[in-house]
Amino acid sequence: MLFDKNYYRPFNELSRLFLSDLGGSRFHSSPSSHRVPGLNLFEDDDAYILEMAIPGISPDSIDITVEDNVLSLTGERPVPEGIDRSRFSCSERSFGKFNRKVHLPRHADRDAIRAEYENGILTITLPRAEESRPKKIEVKAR
Amino acid sequence: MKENNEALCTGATCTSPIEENRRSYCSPNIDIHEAEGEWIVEADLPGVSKNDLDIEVENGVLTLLAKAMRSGKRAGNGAHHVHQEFGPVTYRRRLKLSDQVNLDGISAEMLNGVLTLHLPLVEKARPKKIEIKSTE
Repeated sequence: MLFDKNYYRPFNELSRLFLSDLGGSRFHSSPSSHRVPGLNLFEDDDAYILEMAIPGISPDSIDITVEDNVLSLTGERPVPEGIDRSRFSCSERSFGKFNRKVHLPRHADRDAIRAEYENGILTITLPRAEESRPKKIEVKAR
Repeated sequence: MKENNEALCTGATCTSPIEENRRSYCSPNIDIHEAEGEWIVEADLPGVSKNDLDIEVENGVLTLLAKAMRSGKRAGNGAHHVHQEFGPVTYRRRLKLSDQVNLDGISAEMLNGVLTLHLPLVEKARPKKIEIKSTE
């Protein structure tokens, strides 16, 4: 895995406080190519955004759950029926179950979570709670 | 043919951030199999819409070229990256087609970031009987 529970980005104070990935299970295909669907995490002033690259699945088959501050994304890209991939001339794509978990920042508004699937990318948006949005802090001179 | 692989792409997801001005291509993962009278090529192109995809055949070489945009509308407008495993890359893959392929019959479909290409085969030339003339 690319990272562990003690995920820390020294150049970024804010990221230390929130999104850390608990890793995921394999997205199996041929034995030579184990890959977990790629994940991007962003934040802007209003929301936390997560993107996962999972082309070729049906959006209703994705399970998105939040429990104890952990967002879980589970699903499966089944091998099409009647197809024997071992007989393919070339088989690089990944199929099978996937599961990735991400720790949510405390100030993510879980109830307002939104999910969209477009062009094979799942985008999850969590608005930031008001109190966590960037504010200017005044420095009072003595 | 040589491809520019500076971006360390290992398939549909790239492991290094992509700089705007560099020509770095990502090679998408593909599957190829033979079906009834045709070859089928399927390519994973997450983040690519039909309009961003170019398919060309020249001199028996089929080239796929596609620009994956960030589909998240806000990601990119001043959004700050916390963690990035894949980027808004340019996908490129070239396939040499054998002369068994009927180039005029190639068709393509795109759905949910997966491109399916149908490459029909030409009708095989019939075996010819060769007459042997006897010389007297």
